[in-house]
Amino acid sequence: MNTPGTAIALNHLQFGWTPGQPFLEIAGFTVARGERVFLQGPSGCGKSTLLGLIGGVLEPLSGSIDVLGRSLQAMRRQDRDRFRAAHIGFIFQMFNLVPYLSILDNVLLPLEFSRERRLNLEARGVQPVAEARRLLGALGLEDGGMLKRPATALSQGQQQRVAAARALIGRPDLLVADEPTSSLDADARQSFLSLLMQECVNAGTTVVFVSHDSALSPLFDRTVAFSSISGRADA
Amino acid sequence: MIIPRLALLSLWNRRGTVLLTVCGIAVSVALLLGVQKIRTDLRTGFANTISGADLIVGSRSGPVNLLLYSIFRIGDATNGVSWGIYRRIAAHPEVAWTIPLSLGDSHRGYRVLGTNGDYFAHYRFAQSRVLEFAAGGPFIRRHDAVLGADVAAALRYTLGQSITLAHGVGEVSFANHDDLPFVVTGILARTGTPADRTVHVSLDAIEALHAREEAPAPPEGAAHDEGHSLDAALTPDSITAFIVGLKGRSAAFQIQRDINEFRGEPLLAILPGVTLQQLWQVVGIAEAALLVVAGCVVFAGLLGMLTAVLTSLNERRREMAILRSVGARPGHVFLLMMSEAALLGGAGVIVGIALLHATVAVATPWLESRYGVFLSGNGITAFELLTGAGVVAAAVLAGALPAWRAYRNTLADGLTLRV
Repeated sequence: MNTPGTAIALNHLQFGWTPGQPFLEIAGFTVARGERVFLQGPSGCGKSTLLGLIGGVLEPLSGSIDVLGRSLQAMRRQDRDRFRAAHIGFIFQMFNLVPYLSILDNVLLPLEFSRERRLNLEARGVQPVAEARRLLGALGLEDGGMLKRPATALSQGQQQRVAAARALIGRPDLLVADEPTSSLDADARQSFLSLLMQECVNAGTTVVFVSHDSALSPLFDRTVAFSSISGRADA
Repeated sequence: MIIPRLALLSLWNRRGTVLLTVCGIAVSVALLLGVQKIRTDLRTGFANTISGADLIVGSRSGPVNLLLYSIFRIGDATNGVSWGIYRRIAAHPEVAWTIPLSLGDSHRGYRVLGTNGDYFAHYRFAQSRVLEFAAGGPFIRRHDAVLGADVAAALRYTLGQSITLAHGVGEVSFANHDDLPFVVTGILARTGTPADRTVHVSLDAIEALHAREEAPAPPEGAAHDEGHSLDAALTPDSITAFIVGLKGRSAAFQIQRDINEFRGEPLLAILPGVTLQQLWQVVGIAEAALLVVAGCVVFAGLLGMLTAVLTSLNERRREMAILRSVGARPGHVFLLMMSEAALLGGAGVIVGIALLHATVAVATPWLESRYGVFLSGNGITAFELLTGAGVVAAAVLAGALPAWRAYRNTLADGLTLRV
C-alpha cells in the first residue's frame, strides 16, 4: 500500500460559485502516499471546501486535482462517486452515524457501497464483521455486547470512534477528517487521535486532517497552515 | 440489497408517522375495494336470485318496482293480480309453469310468502340450482310452513315447532294471527337469495289468515264461514304477482305484450333480465359516483403519503449526507426514497386488503340478516390484486417527486453535514 508517490496533488486551483470571482485559490498542495498531514486553520477559512474538492463532490473553476494518481476532472461525476467510495474514508465533526443502524451496521456500511473495499478485505482473507470488531477494538471500543445496539445509544466520543472505524474499513487509501475531535473533551481527543493515527500507520493510510486546534499537530508527520497554501480573492 | 433494507430500517425508525401514513392509504384502499366489492356482489347476488324465469307478472306499476317487491322482497305491491286472470295466463298454451306469489304478511320481521308446490318445483337461482331442503319437505297441509335458512337459524326454529304469523311486514305487529298457529315442516338449505329470509306457506294459508281476520264482517258469505273455512279449499281472490316459465323463449315478447295490453285489468309483465339491466342503469349512476369518491379518497391517501415524505426530507438531509460520505451515490439516494414510497404503498395496500376482508367477515352476517345483501366469501379477487398493484404503482410515481428532490439536495449538499 505504502508505495512511493503522490496521494494528493493540487495545482493552480480556483473554486467559487461565480466564475471570475474565486472564493478559494490554491497555488499548489501535495500530500505523499502514506503521509499524515495536519491542515491547520481557523473555522470558515475554506478547509471544508478543500476537502469537498479532494472528495470530488465539488468541482473547481480551474486548475487540477489529482488523487492517488488520477485526475478527478477527467472522471465523470458517477466515476468520481465510485472512486471516492472505494478510496477515501471520511470523518466529520459530529453526528456521523446513521441513527437507525446498529453500531456494527454503521461500520459495515461502506462495504455495501464499494465493491473494491469488500475485495480489499477478501484479498486479505478477513471477514467483514471480524474486521469491524478489530477496528472498533483498536479504536478503543472493546465491548462486543454493544455492537448490536443503535448508534444513538453511544456518547459523542464513542460515536466518533465508530465513525473512524467506518471510515477505515476495507482499507481506503486516504482518510479525510474534518474537525473530528472538536466535539470531544481534551482527554478523549488525545486518546482517540493517537489510536486513530496508530491504525493509519499500521494500514499505511494517507491522512489529511483538518482542525483549528494546533495542539494536535505533534501527532502528524507534517503540519500545514491553511493560510500558507490558500489565497482568497477577497482577502 | 442494502437500499431496500435501509429504507425499511429508516421507516421503522420513524414508525409513528409511517403508521399514520400507511393507515391513511389502507383505509382509502379498503374503501375503494369495498365499494367495488359491494357493487359486484350486489350484481351477482341479484342476478343469481332468479334464473330460468321468462316473465314476472304483477299489477301495473314500474318494472323495477315489480321486480324489487316480487323477487327481492324490497318494498310493497300497491295492487294484486286477480286469481281469475292468473289462472287464465297459467293455462296459456305457451306457458310451461307458473309460480304464484302472495306477499304482505310477516313473521317476526321476516316476510311471509304464500305460494304453492310449484315454487319448490320450478324456482331456480344461481344459474340452475333448485331449492333444496336442509330438513323436512314442502308444505302439504294448510298450516304447514317452510322456513328459509336464515329464519330458522336466527330464530332457532326446528321442525315441528309452532309459529304464528302477523299481518303486515313490520318487525312488531299488533295484529298477530295468534289463533292460527303454523307448524314448521321444512327448512330450506342456504341459497344466498331472499328465500333464506322468507317464511313460505301455502296460498290457502294466506287466504285462511285473511278470512279469519275479516270474519267479523265477511264480505262474501259461505267461503269465510267459521265452520267450513279450515277444511274447504280456499280460493284466493288475488295474488301479489306470479312468475312465468314458457315452453320456448321466443314467445316471451309476444306474451309480454299481450299481458301489458290486456284491457280487463291493469297488468305488467317484465323480462327479469331486461328489468335488472334497467335497475343497474339507475343504480349505476350512484355506483359510479361512489367509485369516483373512493378513487378520490385513494388519491388523498397518496397525497398524505407525499406530504409525509416531503416533510421528512429536510430533517433527513443529514442522513443523506452521511450515506453519501460512506459511498452512496445520488442514484442510491433516489432509489432509497423510491423504495420507501413503494414500501409505504405496499404496506398500505396489504393492510387495506386485510382491513376489507376483516370487515367483510365481521359485517357479512349482519348485512345478510339486516339488508339481505349477500357478500361473496373470502379470497382475494383479481380486481383487488390489480387495484393494489395500481395503488403501489401510483405510490411509486408519487414517490418520484420527493426522490428527485432528495437527489437534487444530495448533489447540492455534497458531503456537508448540516447540523
